[in-house]
Amino acid sequence: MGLLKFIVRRMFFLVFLIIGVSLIVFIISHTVPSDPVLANLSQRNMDNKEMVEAFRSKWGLDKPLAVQYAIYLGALLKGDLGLSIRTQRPVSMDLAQYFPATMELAVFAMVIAVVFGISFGVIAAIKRNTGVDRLIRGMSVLGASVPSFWLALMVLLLFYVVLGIAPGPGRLGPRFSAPHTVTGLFVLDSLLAGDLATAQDALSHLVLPGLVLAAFTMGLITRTTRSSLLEILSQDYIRTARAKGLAEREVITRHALGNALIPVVTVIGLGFGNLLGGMVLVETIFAWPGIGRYAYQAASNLDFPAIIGVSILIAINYVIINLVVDILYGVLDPRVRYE
Amino acid sequence: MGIRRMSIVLALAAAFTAAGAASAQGRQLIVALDPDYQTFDPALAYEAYSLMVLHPTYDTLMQFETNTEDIKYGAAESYAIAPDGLTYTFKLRKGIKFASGNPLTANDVKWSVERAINLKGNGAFLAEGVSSVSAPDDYTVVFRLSAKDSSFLTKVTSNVYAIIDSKTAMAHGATNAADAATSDKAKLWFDGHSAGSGPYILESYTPQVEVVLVRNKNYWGKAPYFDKVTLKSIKDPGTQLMMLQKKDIDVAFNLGPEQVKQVKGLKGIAVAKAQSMTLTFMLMNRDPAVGGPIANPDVQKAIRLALDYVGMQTIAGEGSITPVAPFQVGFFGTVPPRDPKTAQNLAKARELMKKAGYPNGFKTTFEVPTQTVEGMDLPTLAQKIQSDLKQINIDTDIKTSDIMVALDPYRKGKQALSLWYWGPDYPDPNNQLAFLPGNSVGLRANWTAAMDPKLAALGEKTAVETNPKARAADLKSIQEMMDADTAFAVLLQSARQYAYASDLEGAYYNDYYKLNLAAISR
Repeated sequence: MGLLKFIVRRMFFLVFLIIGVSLIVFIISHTVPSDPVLANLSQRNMDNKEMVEAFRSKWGLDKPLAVQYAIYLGALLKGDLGLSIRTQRPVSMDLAQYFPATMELAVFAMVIAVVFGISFGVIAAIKRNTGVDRLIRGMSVLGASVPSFWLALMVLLLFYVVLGIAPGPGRLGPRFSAPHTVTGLFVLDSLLAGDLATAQDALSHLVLPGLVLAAFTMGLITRTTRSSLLEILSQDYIRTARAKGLAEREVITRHALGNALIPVVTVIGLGFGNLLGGMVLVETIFAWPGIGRYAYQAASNLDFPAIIGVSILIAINYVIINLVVDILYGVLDPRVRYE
Repeated sequence: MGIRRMSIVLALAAAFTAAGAASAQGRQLIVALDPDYQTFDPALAYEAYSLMVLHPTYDTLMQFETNTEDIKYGAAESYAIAPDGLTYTFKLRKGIKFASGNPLTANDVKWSVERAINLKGNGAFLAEGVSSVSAPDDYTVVFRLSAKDSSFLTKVTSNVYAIIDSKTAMAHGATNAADAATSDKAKLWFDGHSAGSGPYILESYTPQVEVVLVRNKNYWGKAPYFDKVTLKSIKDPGTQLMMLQKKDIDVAFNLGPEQVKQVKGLKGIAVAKAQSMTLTFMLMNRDPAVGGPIANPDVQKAIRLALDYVGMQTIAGEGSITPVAPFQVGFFGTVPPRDPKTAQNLAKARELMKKAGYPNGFKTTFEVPTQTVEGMDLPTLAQKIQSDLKQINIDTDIKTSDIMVALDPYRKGKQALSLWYWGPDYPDPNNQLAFLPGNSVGLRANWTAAMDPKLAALGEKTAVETNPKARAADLKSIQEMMDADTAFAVLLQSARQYAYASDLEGAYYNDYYKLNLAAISR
């Protein structure tokens, strides 16, 4: 019951967050010393007063800022994110197209980061101060510090061009077509359509960008898991468990790991947010049609409705991730109460 | 257990490596590019790459094949200009059908142009001189202009004049009514479909991913070689290059000078070089209140003489040139480009500085947008100019800003000295008359018609001169006058380099359509 109340309260809070985010982004994007007319009309038409006025009135830019925001908010509360000035399509339609691509990649990267990050962290902790530990620690520092665009180019060059064992950029090979859209996640959609070849191609295209995106978070998770596990392993109750004669494997999996994972869950939550932030470069190099590039183009065209739409979407994501993290705390540690 | 695990690993490895093994579906051409298109509604599209898709999907009355070639017939088989220069009568080819099977008639032409005018899109100005369009019979279209326009035939090649299958379009919410700007609902439909009579049909468009064109079985002309053409959106030039090396694509269209160096000499890859119609120039304000010492015409001349054109062409990459005035080499009536080796004359430049009253030079700001033009970084070029101007004691303080911020003061004529670029709206020298005193770009340098009435008048005359011989003579005089005195320094007309699989034929560049897709074969 406490948990349900907690979730409802968070969701209620979300409404205010969306209004807050839209207001802040609205104000920031309108204080930029430029004009969407310049970004969206041709140089010739900028000098044509009639065209400029028609553009301003079409997009409501001729009204006072407060009125513009009130109109936007009114539509937003009805679930309407407005039309993108640049693409001239509903923002919700654009987001629905680009967000699944980003989500598919982010989730794949997160699975890699979590599975390998925790495994390496545990191994490093068990083999503390050995060669294996030093190697893993070195790799995790490297993973967390190498710039993602460089890593992206290097893995493409090595695995795609030189070795030829990985597919190239994009979500699908050049000769495949996108599956019929159900979820927008290509692997899932092609499986739903029973098209195994396309599913396999889509999955293989996730590997390289997934690894590059995962590198930073994986390094972070590895180091956090290691240090947290080492701390737990020095606790009295672990000594007791060992004294009972439990096998080391059981001591770690049944007694130590669960407690050691609490700070790791926090890092995973933060890592997911970071992942979305680091998308732009990886999406550019891997020609990944995701929300990162859409956001970048929206910003450079002062496409207000699109900028606010992306910001709201990312804010909602953060809230949901934080909610999941908070719920996981309770699962891992029964002492945590939702109040 | 061990074997089972091993087999899972092997299966996964096989899954990852077997990508791309799909069977070829007929003849397919795959082009990678970094496009800017936002719509494929012919009446609204205005971006540099839109015509790459609209040209093979729609017919226009007249068309160009290459950059330099004369204009050719498209859906029209002849035309006549009335003696007053205001009435253009086109006769249509008989037997042209749209991809839908509907016959192409003069009414479709009339409907399409009226829709473009009433939709008021970015390209609508190309038809603003048209006062009426009529269709006396199924194969005759008459355009009545409000004023003489020597570039009208060129404008007719643009997508604003693309002939749309009006029946199909109206069934999807399109209208040519006077209130089309608000009542036309067909844009979204046009973004994923075409309603034309060109060699290809737009099969699908997925923004940021690809455009797929398939052969139009009803096409009246020679059938194109490829059954399917895919235009892949690949922003990063390094990625384009890698995909070409792996033969995943046939053409890598947006390579910078760096990638071209890497690709030269690789087996199976050809590099093509073409003249782009993009100009890079410096604006020098003529208003002393804005420009200070820069406003002095002698100082402006000294600046043009102080620049190292060989060095700038090296930065811009192989094949770039410097026209003598803001008229692109390749357009009708353009004189040969400057010889970069003799264009710099520091002694004369210093003399002019002395004459202008600045023997010891001066300090000024130099505004530069952070932008890349045909693979060349503008701030890098600005640094080269800075060091050149230092030699005549002009000390420039480079101020870079995002293009969206820099555009405003540029348009309002508030920059003393700045670096800019210009792509033509349509392939005709009339486009470039904007740089003349009193016209839109001229006024950005506060160069008014009163400052050079002779040049301004000659520009007005050229804009309506329909006799080619007289027009060429006028254009030559304009360029000579601008070589002697202008508020600009034309720096570069860039070259464009791209690479393609060497077994392709006909992958020629055209600044307007980029590649004429229907003309490419293997």
